[in-house]
Amino acid sequence: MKTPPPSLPVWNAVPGRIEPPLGPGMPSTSGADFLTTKLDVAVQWAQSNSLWPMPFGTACCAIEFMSVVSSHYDLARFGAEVVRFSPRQADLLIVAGTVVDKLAPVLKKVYDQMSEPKWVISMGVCASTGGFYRAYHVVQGIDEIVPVDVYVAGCPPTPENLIRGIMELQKKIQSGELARHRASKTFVPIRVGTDPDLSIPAYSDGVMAHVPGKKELPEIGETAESELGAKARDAAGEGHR
Amino acid sequence: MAARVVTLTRLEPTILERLYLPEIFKGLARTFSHLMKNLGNMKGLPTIQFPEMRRKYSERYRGRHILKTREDGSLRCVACYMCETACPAECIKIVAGEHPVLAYEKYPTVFEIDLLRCVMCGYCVDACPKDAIWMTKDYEMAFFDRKSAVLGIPELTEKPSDTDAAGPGYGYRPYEGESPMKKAGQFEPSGIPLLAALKERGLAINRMPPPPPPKPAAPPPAANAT
Amino acid sequence: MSATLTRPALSFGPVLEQKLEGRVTVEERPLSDIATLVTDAATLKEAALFLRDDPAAAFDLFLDLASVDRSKLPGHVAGKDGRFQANYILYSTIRNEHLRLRVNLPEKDPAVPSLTGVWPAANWFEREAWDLMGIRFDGHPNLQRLLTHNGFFGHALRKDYDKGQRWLCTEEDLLQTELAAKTDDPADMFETMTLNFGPSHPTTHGTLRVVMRVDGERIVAAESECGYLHRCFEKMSESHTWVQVIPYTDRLNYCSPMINGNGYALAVEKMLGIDVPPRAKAARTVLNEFSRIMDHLVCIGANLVDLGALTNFWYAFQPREEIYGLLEACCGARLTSSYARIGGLAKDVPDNFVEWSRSLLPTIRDRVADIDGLITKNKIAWNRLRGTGVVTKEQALAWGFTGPCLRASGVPYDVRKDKPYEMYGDVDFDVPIATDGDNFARYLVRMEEIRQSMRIIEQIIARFPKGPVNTDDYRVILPPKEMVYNEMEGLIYHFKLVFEGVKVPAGEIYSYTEGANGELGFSLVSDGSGFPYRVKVRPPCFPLFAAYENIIKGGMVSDAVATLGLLNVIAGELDR
Repeated sequence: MKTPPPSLPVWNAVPGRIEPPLGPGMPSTSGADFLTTKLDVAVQWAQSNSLWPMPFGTACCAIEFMSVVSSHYDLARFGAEVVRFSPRQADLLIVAGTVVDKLAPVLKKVYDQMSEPKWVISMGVCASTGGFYRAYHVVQGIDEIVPVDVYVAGCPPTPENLIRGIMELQKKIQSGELARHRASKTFVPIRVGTDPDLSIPAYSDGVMAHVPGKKELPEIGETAESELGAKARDAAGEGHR
Repeated sequence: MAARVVTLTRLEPTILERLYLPEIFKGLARTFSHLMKNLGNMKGLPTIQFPEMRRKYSERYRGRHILKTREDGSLRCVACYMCETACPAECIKIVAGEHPVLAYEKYPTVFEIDLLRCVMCGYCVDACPKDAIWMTKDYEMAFFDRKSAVLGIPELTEKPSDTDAAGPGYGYRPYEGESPMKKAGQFEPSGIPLLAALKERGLAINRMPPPPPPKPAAPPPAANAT
Repeated sequence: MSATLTRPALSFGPVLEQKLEGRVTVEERPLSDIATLVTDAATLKEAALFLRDDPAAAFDLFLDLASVDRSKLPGHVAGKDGRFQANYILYSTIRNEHLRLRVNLPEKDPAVPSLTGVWPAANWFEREAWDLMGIRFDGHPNLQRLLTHNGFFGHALRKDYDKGQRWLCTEEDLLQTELAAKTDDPADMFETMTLNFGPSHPTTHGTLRVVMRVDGERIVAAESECGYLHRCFEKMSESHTWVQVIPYTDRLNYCSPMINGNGYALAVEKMLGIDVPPRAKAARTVLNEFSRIMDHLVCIGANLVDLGALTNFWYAFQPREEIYGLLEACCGARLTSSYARIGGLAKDVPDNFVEWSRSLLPTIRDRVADIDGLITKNKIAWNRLRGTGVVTKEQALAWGFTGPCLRASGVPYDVRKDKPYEMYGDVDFDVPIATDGDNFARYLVRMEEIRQSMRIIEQIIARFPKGPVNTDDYRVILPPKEMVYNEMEGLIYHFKLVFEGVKVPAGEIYSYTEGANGELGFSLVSDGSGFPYRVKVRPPCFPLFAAYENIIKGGMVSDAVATLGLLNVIAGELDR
């Protein structure tokens, strides 16, 4: 059985997906090539210093994002001042604010529309985990839907905090650590309750209910993803070889 | 009292204003004067050059939490679950244990704060009856995965660097100035001789998890391999 | 702490008795609450028409529809009392009076006639009540889900709905084709097309959506849609203590969080029957006004960016950042303050509060003068803002507008002036109104309000009171730390307050303050426990955005952008 290399994230292993050509930062298959590795370094340096953010701003964090681009914090100092509101023109998706179930398909579409290479920063606790909205209409972390590179805590994070997140991302891009070709996740079925056949009872117990001393980290995104992936593999006739 | 309601009237544009260009030049003059003012006063620009320069936040800033320690280094926390109850985000997880020091009674064997759930409201600080949890001015909280955002006792325990002049200092706290806790009061048992006796016999006074083992030294450079 | 119950004497009482005798009763109420009339579903429409049209009543403004599921209230007998309640909150701008019109509804198939024909503003409020509480409104033109998505099952604010129960929303549930079909005009298919505007669009702030039918650049029909930031504030409040709700209120209107916290704390204080010390009142008022300035600045600045005037955005944000410094020194956070507490403030204001506040005013004045100089006589701004998005006085009242948008249409209703709270009764300020009701009028009103807010701040900090900021009732507010650390009594109060919460006496209230966008109302119901039984916010933006599709009809697409910005719809309080 062939196991995927550990550096590849889970969401790359979607069956039927054409593996993208290797880009900068990926291990070269044709042996060491001085010129291309040097070129990689240059490309990574350029990419990290000219991030074009697309603010997917929905709530309070969007107001702080406005502060980040305005004169006191001035994101232009990091080469990221070209704020684009079209996903086609951006390579850094900054999800600023709560993403609710009704907005989830929109976020997925926006992410899919961005061209490679692309990175995602989840700004604030609402986008990262749902924050203190453990509620019936709030996505419990956008990593249910899209892969996230950097989580920035805070409610909302101070502009310094977001800039720190962007700097960490720049470092990672320069070191070539980030896998670059990632599809958005398959939608996680969260329909629970009335129809047991359709449901994965992920959201009602454990995560939502407050049981002192018994709280677990919500890992729904991954578990549901892997289950769904297994189902999809079965459907595709690949089976578990 | 002055007029209760003022009706705003709009002026009809004068001919000069309707000519478009004079007003455009007035506007340009305004922005240009800002440019010149700023050029003449580069030191006074509002921009904060962030990683090098830092905005001075107040003594009430609500940043990352720390757990305060007693004079002997043990946590002040007595695992009373008040902060866990007061937290609107339910991001604090406490498991209580029995402390070997009789006077301390209880202590947390697990104290975790999920920074990616925490909304930094400061309610835990307000709720603590033992002055055990404070917040700091440490606002840089960027993580690469959700697990590393869950801080346990080793990360939360007050470290000397927290109070360094260079590093982030204390932020939101239950009181300002001197601690109002009376040292000889019935709720503060530190300084009793029992501690010293336990220490002499080599008994742990603090069951905090040991610090993570130091990372193995980096392998020697490749020059040796040849 | 208990308020006395009285049966209020209504000024229009005699006429009412004559017209609707026996079918409408006046309910006893605490002095702090507004008057309540109770009727039944069959009489509702008649009563509503009377209340609107009779000159003795003249309730011309529909403010809110607060629905309550009473099934878990103590003393509620299933089957005997009605399970649901629909509370219509009305206001008369002529007589400056609030009124609650209540209908009790049975558990099985709760239905009332729709009041959209009486007050058009009821339209979206009724859709919301149907969506979240499952009350049917007969005769409603479009009784669809509003805040939750189409794949949702059940009614979330009913007491038997699990607060963590989520439902899958797929792309089909966004109803692209259905909304487009609503704007279709089969008779005129020539050269019109459907344009989907939002939710991910820079001028819709990521959370508003309008589906338009455009003929060239002209909008012939539009259908707006909200709920893209429905964060379940009201359901979350029910599972948190009264004090724990305060951080949630910060995130309602996140451009001016202090005002929300103050409004909520004031409502609970009214229910408890307590008063805060003068220093807390003064501090709240000053911070409210700073928040209002910030809100108006972000509204004007962000809207001008949408119109292409980027410089103003930076001029607007510089004083904002300076104000952030003051707010942070008070409460410890730049944006989400959590500063108000029931019975006072989280902490006393810093020592240099007065000087600091005073030092901020020149910056604000300068930057506002900059924006004024660039925009107010700018020909491009005139062409974009004058005569676009016109709302007449009658329309504004019918659509339930409050705040700057109502005042821009010529109605001088301002809660700060008409029903003063905190320190607003002691200060001298003007209520700016404009008569044109277009975008430029809304811009002018906001600019003038910034100046009036500065006047209020100057007056209060000139005589900023000394003394404590919190009440000394430790059943309401946490005792000082000296007591908690050193005295058993203080520790007991502390424990009880943290574990059980503030015990608010059973009852209900509608409390209202002037938010940055209009009347911010809190309809609270308490069952006597430490947790709110029901919290319903009257969001000022809700009627504004509900009317948006009507305002933009017939205009250009580019005017729709200007209108949306100057209505200042904040999604956090629109969707809650």
